[in-house]
Amino acid sequence: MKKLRLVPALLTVVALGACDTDSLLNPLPVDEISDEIAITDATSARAALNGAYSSLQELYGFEWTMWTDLLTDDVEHTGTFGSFADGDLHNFRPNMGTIDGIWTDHYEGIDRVNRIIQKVPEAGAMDPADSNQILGEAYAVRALLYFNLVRAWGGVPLVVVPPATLEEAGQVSRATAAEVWTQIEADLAQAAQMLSGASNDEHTFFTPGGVTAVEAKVALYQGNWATAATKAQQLVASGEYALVENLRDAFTADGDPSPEDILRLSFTATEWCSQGWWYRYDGRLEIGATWEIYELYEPGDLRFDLNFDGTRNDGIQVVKWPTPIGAEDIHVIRYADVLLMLAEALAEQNDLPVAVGYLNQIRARAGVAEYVYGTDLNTQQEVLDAIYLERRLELAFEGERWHDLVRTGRALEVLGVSGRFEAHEVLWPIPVGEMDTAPNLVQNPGY
Amino acid sequence: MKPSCVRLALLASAFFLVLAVPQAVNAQDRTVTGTVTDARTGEPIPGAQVSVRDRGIGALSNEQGRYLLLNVPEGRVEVRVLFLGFAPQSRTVEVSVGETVVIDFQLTVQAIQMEEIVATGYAEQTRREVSSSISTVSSVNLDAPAVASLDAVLQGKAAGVQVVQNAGNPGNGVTVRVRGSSSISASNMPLYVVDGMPIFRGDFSQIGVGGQDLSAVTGVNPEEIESVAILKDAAAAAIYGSRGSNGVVLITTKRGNVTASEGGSGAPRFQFNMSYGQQKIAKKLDMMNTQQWMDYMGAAMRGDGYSEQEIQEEFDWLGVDPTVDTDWQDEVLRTAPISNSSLSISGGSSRFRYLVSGSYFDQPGIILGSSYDRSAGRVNLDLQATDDIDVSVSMSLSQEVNLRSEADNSIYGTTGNAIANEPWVPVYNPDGSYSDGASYSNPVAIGKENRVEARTLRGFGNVEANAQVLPWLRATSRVGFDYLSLREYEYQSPLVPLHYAASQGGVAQIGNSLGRRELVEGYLTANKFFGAHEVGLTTGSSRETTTRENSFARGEGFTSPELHWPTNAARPVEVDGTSWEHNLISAFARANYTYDNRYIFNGSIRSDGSSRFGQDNKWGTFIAGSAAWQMMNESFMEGVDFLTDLKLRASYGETGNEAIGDFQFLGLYGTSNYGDTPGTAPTNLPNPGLKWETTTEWNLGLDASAFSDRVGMSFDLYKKATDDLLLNRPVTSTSGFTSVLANVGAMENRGYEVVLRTVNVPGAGEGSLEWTTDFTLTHNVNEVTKLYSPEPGEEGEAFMGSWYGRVEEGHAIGEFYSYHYEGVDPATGNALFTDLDADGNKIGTTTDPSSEDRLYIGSPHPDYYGGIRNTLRYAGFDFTAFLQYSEGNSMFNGMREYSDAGGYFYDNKFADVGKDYWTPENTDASKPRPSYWGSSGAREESDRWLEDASYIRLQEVTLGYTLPASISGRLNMQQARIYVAGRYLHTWTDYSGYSPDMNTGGSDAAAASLAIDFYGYPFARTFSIGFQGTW
Repeated sequence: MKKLRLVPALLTVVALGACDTDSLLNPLPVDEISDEIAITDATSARAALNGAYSSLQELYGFEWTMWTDLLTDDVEHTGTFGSFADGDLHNFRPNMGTIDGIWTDHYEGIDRVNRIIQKVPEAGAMDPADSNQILGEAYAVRALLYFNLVRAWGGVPLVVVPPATLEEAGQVSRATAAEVWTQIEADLAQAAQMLSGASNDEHTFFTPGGVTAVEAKVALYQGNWATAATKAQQLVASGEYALVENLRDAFTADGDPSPEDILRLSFTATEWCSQGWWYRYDGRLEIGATWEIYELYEPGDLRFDLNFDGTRNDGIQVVKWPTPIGAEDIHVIRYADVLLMLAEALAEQNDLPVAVGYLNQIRARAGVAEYVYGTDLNTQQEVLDAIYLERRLELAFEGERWHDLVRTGRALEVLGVSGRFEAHEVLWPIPVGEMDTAPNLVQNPGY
Repeated sequence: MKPSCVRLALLASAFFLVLAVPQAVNAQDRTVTGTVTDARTGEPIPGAQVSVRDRGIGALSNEQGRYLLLNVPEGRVEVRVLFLGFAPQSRTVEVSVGETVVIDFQLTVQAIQMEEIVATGYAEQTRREVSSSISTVSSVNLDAPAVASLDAVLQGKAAGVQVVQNAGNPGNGVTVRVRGSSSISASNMPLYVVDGMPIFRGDFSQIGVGGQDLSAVTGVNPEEIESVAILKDAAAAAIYGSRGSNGVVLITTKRGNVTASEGGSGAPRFQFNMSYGQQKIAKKLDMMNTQQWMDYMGAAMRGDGYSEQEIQEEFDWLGVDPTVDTDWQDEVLRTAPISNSSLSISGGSSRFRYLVSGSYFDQPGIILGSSYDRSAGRVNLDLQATDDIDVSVSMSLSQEVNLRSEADNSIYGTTGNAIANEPWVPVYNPDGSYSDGASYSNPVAIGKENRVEARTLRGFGNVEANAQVLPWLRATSRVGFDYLSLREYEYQSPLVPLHYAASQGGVAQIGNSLGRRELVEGYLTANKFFGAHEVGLTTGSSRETTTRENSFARGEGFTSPELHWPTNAARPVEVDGTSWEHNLISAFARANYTYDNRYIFNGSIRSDGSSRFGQDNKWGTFIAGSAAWQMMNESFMEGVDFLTDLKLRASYGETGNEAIGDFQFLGLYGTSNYGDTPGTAPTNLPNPGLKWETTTEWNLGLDASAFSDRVGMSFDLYKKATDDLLLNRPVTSTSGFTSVLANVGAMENRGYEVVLRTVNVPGAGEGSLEWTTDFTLTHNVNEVTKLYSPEPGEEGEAFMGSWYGRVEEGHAIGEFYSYHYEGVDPATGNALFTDLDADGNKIGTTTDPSSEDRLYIGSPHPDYYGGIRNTLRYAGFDFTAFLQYSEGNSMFNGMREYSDAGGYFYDNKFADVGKDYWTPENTDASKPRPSYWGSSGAREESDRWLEDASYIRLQEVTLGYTLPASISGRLNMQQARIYVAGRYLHTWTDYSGYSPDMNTGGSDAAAASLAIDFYGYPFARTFSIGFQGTW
């Protein structure tokens, strides 16, 4: 029976199955870390905040800017993608992928910020200067995201603390638009307070000036003309910003800084700002400018050459972003926008000559004749219309026109001409996936 | 990975062998010998495989049909014989020392092959002992020239196994589903086990080319395979526990055999196979020419109020040249050769047997720029170290080079652009550069200038040692490995108009993917007879460790077309890479008991610990039991003469599915940079409760054979319920995430399978006609029985897959859900769709449907599928015709979304689009009025684009001729056969695309997104000639 000696040898092999069980069953990834140790000090909190800015990149470098312009009379669909066709034709449906993507990316950013706002105060010994800077920027990013949401959908679910469970998350319901505006203002106030005294130099992140500019815009959208004017005036008076002489300097291939910057999202080719790719002949030309905007510029308007460079039979390219490579930056708010907001807020308060003065700064830079108040423009409405037109010309393809048309109540009048626009479309449909997973949500009317 | 464990295991194996060495070598004192002849003709059969069951002893019969088995262990052994085309036989005999036992075998053609050897996982059984549901396919049925991969060959050949080719790309992944889909978010691919080693499956590639994928299974050369057993029911698959619920494909490769001679060592046997063929597109799409395109687009403009002059202006503006008529399909299609050659050398002595084989398969694609080739080698060695110890080595090494063709759901693809580009676009501009269309690129440029190359180097195999500890107790230890290295390179040329790369000065990407798996396992097998009782027991443990590693780089902007490695790029835009680890620790046991060859019981248990699951649920245990009643052996059946076999089977078992990504139960932060600053962001929500998907399955089976084994049938009825479904459950995005992997929901598959084999003409005497027919039929019904619901007791949430497939309780997974087209409004020519009220009742028709008007419009799942194979032999001739069919499935023809959208898109269109559309003169048309502005509802997604994809296909036809022995003998050959073969010869179907076998999602498509055709690569019809010779 010496063969039985084989048995222990074999059992050795069998027993090996059990070796190192614990470590074998609990491997960890090499390029990710546990969420429990993701935000522990200033460095890791700053990294998480950069992650939140990265959410803004996904929005502004892609659908938020380009797609909202596609909804207007400035841009038309020239390519083959059905989702773009649906945008151009205003086939607004709750199951539209693009609308779903914009909604989702906003809440992804909000979640990233909420986690920072929740974790930083718990994160042990952090220099108050660091934590104030990080939290201040975080509040400002959240305000900006909710500002977008309320503009596109009206009242949306207000999530300001990361939900403890998915069940809890599924119980959200829509706040009123007023509640959202209140939250935005509170976040901006908090941001302004925490960033007070902070540096105003790095415009690819929220600075005190960036917060003020968003405050001005938030006020403008609510018709709080006095506040809007005050905030905008603060920025003008600060002397920190100026219109660039040559507009191209604010739209360079690599996204270089310029005196006009207030809040500029920085992109590398990897992070890919897709504007040039969608609009250009050496890109995809999935979308192009309409003849209407192409023919709207006066002869000699320098902005025409900034925006256009020849036409082709398959569409009119837009060259405001000089390459399809994607290292261009996106201005969330630039100084020209602030001047126009100031002009508008003043005009609304009937301070017409001063308003026209600010408007003329923009026209002068564009190389077109300045308006003479009392001659070219006489009434408040004429001044306002001139400002609206100037916003269209100056901020063309920068994602402003749709919101301007909606906020000034001109959307139906302007876009209705094509027969593609219906009044209820000023608010977008809540995505169908969201309606399914959060049953308390109520759809916007008309969808 | 813990290297110390592997080292220990190797050490132990060595120790195990050292222990064995002192054992005395008792040569040749127990012998079994005899002859193998054809019962029909009495002629000897050379090359038949004779072996002793469970002992690793085997031999081949020589030219006189004689075989010789030496060193047969003493005691009761089972001797088997196997030869292709005949029913296997086995005989049980007592062997004692110094004795020579003579067994002569007369082989016949039979309808049911009760002596067939069936691999069952860690063991094999003969068919008569099987009480669960296992399909087998032997090498004769795998012998299909002009097919690269094993899974493709299986199509239609095993009941209960649905195979979809997905597209015609050479070397792409093939979908295999055993008894339906059982998961929504985890993989539905079966587990592949080659000679005991669970090999890699799935796609390792990092560079996407649209829908189709690479599959690790294509590295297995079908020619190297002796037999395939598919463990279908849970009772059979439970021995593979947590990976059994999608079925298990057990592959046994060919091994060396001794040819009988008195010295015990025969001459080497050379087997040489060669085939060469031509591939040509099986079916071209009938597209519009320039005139038809202009007529149709003109009608679309006219309908929207364009004057004739405006129409002409629009054409001029687009650059339509009426003198150009390009057939873009012809421009990218080609007739391509296909060839395969292989050589194997096998033989050995009674103590050492070998098989060494090499092969080269070469398939340039029928679309410009695509090809696949594979060089494969195998070494299988069997060493009888001592009387009690044998060692087997099985090693496979292969290299695949795949030039992939972008297609399927991609605007960058050759096929898509060839279908969609307008016919009035010339291939080249007058200056010789590539032209482009109104919105599509130039497919010739894509095929010629772009390159997507995937090189896979693959080695897998195992070393196995068996010790006969006692006559009834056998110990096995196995060390296995699977290494896969995939290097991908893609160059997107700036010469291709309109593409992203043209805007960037070229794009180049490289990806390196490594997979490494090691297996260490050991088990004991006991088999003992006590009179009429036979008891078997297997128990052991297994440890499998897998690591995967990726690295990736992408660069954009190249100065010269000669310098286009990512390192030459002006902008290195992306560097990526990560690794994963997946470990599985298991213990398993199986018991079987047979009483008097009448009552058969099998039971198994397996416990798996997996690194993929949450802290609370690392371990899962899976049990199974089955029983069979061999009724023919009952005394009351004695008078029933027309039946030769009658067996009832019943089984119940549990299996699991753990085929999800790694680390999914952890709450994680990954990288999300901003500008040039590093950033982090949440990537995964924690779920410590994440656990196995569990499938429980009942199976009832009946095997019968009648009329002197002229008619044999197998019938299986099953119900398979999967619970704790691993599902990427959609969650409200206000949580920051859109979905989370969780165990929610349940799904059911139920159905039946029929296998029928008839010997229509048994043949009598040499050179007479012999004719057999094999028929399989499968009916499977899939139903999602439960989904996540926030409130217990309430209906679960339905959701859509990435396309039109919907997942909802009470429906099959991925059923098509969209608007129902009701025809044309005769007054306006606009499309009408069913209008539903909130409860889903029809209240009329509408031209402007909303999401509440969607309804179920068809299913991607067939009601029935299977195959029919006829085999005839006459004199030296053999003839096989194999038909494959699928009935009741629909296909979403996604191409119609552009082609059949009423002229809203410039795309070229299917010729049928230009027929029978509404005009003021043709108001009862079947299609809506064309509209250039897209305002007639013609571009609304609906079942107008859903087509019946039922089909019957003449899949394989082979005519062969075996040279008479007098001639082959003169050439010093044992056997020589020449043949002609055709594949994918004709498909009878109403489906209008290239093939009803398309699936744009590839081999592991999300289970909710099936049967979509979106510019997939066309299929080829192949004619080949071949030669098979044995020396």
